[in-house]
Amino acid sequence: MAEPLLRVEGISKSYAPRRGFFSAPAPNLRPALASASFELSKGEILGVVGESGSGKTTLARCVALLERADSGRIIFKGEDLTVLSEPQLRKRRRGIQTVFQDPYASLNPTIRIGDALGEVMLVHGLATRQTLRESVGALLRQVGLPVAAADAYPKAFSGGQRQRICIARALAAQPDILIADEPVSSLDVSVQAQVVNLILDLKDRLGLSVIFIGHDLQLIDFIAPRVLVMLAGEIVETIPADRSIADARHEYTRALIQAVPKLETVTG
Amino acid sequence: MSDAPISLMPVRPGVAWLSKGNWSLRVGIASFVLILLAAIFAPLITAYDPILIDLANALKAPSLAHPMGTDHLGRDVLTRVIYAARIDLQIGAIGVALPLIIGTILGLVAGYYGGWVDAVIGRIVDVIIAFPFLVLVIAIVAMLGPGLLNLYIALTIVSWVLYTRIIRAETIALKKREYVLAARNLGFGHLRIMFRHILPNAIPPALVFAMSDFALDVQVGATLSFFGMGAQPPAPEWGLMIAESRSMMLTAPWTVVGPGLAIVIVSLVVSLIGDGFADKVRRLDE
Amino acid sequence: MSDHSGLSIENLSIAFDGGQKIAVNGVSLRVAMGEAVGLVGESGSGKSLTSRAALGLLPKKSTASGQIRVGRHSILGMSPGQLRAVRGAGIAMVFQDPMSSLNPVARIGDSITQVIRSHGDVSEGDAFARAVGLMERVGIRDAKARAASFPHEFSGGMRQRIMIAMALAAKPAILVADEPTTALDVIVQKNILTLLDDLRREEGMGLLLVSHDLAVVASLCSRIAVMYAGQIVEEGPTKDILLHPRMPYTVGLLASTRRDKSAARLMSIPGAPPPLGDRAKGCRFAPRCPLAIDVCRAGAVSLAEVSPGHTARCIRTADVQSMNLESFSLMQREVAHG
Repeated sequence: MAEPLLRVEGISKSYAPRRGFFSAPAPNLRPALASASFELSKGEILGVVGESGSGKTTLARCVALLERADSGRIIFKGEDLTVLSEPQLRKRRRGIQTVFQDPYASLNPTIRIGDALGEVMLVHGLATRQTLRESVGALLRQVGLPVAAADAYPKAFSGGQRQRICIARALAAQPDILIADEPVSSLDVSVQAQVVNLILDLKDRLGLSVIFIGHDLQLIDFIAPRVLVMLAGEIVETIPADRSIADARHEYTRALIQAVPKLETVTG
Repeated sequence: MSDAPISLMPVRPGVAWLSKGNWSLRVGIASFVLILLAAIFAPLITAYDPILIDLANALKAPSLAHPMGTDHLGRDVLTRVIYAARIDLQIGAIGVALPLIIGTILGLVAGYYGGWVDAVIGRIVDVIIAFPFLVLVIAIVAMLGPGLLNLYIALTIVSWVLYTRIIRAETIALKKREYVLAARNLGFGHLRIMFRHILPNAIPPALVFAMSDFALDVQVGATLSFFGMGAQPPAPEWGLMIAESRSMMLTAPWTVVGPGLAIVIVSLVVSLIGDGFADKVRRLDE
Repeated sequence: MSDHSGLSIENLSIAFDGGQKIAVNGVSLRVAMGEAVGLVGESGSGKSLTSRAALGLLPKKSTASGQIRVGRHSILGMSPGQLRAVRGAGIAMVFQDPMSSLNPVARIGDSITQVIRSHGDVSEGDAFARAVGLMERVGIRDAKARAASFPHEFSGGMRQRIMIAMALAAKPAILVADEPTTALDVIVQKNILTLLDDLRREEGMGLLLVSHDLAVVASLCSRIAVMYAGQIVEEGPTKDILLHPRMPYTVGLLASTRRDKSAARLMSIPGAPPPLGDRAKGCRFAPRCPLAIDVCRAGAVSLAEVSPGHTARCIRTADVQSMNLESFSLMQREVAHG
C-alpha cells in the first residue's frame, strides 16, 4: 500500500505542571495526549470529536508542530517532521495549516486583510509583488468574500467572515493538509453551515486533506466519513467510513450522541 | 460556492463612537504642537537674544517690552523660557526615545524566547529597578561628569527597564494568541513574528507610559540642571534658570515664575496626551 | 395567565445614537409562571439586549421605550435601588460566561451567602446553610466542603451550576438564561438544561431561555420566539414552530441544523443579517429570502396570527406552509448560485 500523505505514530504530550518554588514536585499527571496514531490520505477528510480536555486541540497543535510531541513520529510526505530542527521545519510548515476556534483572536488587529494574505505568499515565494493584488483577490473570492475586503482591518468583519479570512490565509500557503480546530464552534448555527460548506467545497476543488475537529458528533459525522473519538487524551474509538455513528461501540461515543439536543425528539 | 458573497458588515455597533470625543488627546496634542512650534521658531517670536548680556536692563519688572521681565544679567526672561523649550523638550524626547527603543527590543526578546534569555534580562531589570530612580540618575551623572550627554546616558541606563517589563508582559500574553500561532504555523521567521505580528499589539501600553516618562524626564533634567549637573550656563534651561535666579526669588519673583510655569505646563500637556491615548487604547480593546 | 404574574414585555424598543440606530424594534413577549419560553436569534438580532432589558440592564448610551413588567413592577424607568429589589425575588439572570460574573478571590459559599443576605434579613449562619442547600439543589456534590473552594477550582459546568444557585438565592419568579450552555461541552450542556427544566417545574418559575441554537431551546421550551434584525419574526408553540414554520427565516434556521448525510452539503441561509442602521424598510429578511416579492420590500410587515397562538411576520405565509424543508432549501441554493 502506498505511503499515506500523513502518518501519525503514537504521539504523546504531557504538560509539566506549573510548580511553585516551595511546593513538592508534582506526581505524574495524566498526559494531554496519549499515544495517538492515525493516517490521513490525500483528499480525505478526517473527523476528530471530543469534549474540552479530551486532547483534541493538543493533537491539532502537535500535528501542526506548534507544539513538540514528547514522543512518537509525524510522517508527512514520507519525512519524519518530529526530528527536524526549528529552521528546517520552517520551510515545511506551510504544508500543514490550521484554522483555529476563536475567529476574534485569529486575525492580527493591526494588519489589513490583504496584507495578511499577501505576506504569506511573499514569504514563501508563491506570488510576486506585481501579481500580489490579483492573487489576494483570487483567494478572497475563493472563500466567498468581496475583493474589497483586502483593504479592511479585521474589526470590520463578523465571526463567520473572519473564519473565511482565516481559511483564505491558510490557503495562501498552498497547504496539503488543513487542520480545522473547532472552526465553527463559536459561530451561530446558521453561519456554521456556511463555513462547513466552504471547507467541503475547498476540499473537493483543491484536493485538500482536512482534519476537522469538533465537539458536535452529528456535525462531524456529516462532514467526515472517518471519525476519531477522543476522551481524556486517548483515541477511544475510530468510526470507519462504512459504519454509522449510530452503531458506535464505545459507551462514551453513545453518550455524546445522546447528549446533543435534536429537533426530531421534540417533533416526534 | 454554496453561498453568495456577503457584504462587509460592521458587527459591533459601538465602534463608531470611538473616534468621537477624545477631548484630552486632542487638546494635549494641539498644545504640544504649539509648544514645539514656539521652540523651533523662537527667533521669529522674540527679538531678544537668549544669551547676550545687557546689564543696563538687569532685573526689570514685567512690562510691555519684557512681558516676563529680565533676569540679573538683563536677558529677557520670556525669550529664555521659549529658547529653553528646545533643550527641555530634547531632554524629554531623548530621555524617552532611547530607553523606549532599547527596552522594547529587550522586552520582546525576553518575552518571546523565554528560558535563559528571559532569566538574564529579568535579573538585570530587577537589579536596576531595586535602586531609587533619581538617586541612580544622580549617581551616574556624578560619576560621568556634568553635561547633557551624560544626563541622556544616565536616563537611558535607568529607565529602559520599565519598558522592558511592560513589553515583556504583553509579549508573553500575545504569543499565545491564535494569530501569533498562525504566524508560526505559516512558517514565518522569528524576527517577522516579533516585530510585525507582536510588537504593534504590544506597544500601546508602553507608549502610554512613555508620555508620563516624558514629563518625568523633563523634571529630572530640570532638577539636575538646577544642581549644576545637567545643562551648563549660559544655556537657557528651565531648571538652570531657576537655579541662577533663586537668590532673587523674593526681590524679583518674575525671574523664576516663567521657567517654573513652563515645567508645569509641559508636564500637564504630556499627561493629557497620555490620558487620552490610554483612553483610546482601552476603548479599542473592548 | 394572570396579569400580575410572570414577565411581560410590551412593544419594547432599544435605540442607540440618540434614536438613530434601533437595535430592538417593538418586541412583545410574555413568560408566565411555570412556563419556559425560548428566544432564538443570531448574534446582533437583539435577543440579548431584550433579555437584559427585562432585568433593567440597558447598555450605556441607549434609550428604551415600551413597557416591561415583572409581576406588578414596571422595570423601565426604575431607580437603581428599586431595580435591585426586583432583581432578587422578581427576576434573576444566568449568563453565558460564569467566570466573569463570579468574584475570583471569594469562596463560592461566601459569594452565595452574600447574595442571600443582600435580599433578606438573614443571619450569616442561616444564609450560609441556605447557600449550601442551594448548591445541593443545583447538583453540586459534597456541597458543604465545596463551599470553601474558589471559582477557578470548578469546571465550566460546575461554575454554571453555581451561577444558577446564585440566581435562585432570592427565589425569583422569573429566571432569564442567556446562552447558558454555549460555552459548555454537549454532555455538560445536557445536564445544565435538565437542571433548568427541573427547577422550572419544581419551583414553578418562569424561564426565558435565550440561545442561537434552535435545538437547545426546543428541548426545553413550550413556546419559541424567533428574532431577526431586532424584531420578533415568528412566535408560537414549539411544535408549530418546528413542524409548521411560517416565516422563511425560521425555515432557514431549521434547515441549517439538519445533518442529512445523503446530502453533499449542509443547508444554510445565504448572506448575513443586515447591520444596525442599514435595515430594509420592508421585510428585513427580504434581501436573503427566496420567496421575496416586490410587496415584501415595499413597506413594513407586521406580525399576524397564522393559527391560534402562532404569529409570523411574513406576507407569504401561505406559500411557506405549502413547502417542505428540502424544496425550500433547494430554492435557496439556487438563489445563492444566482
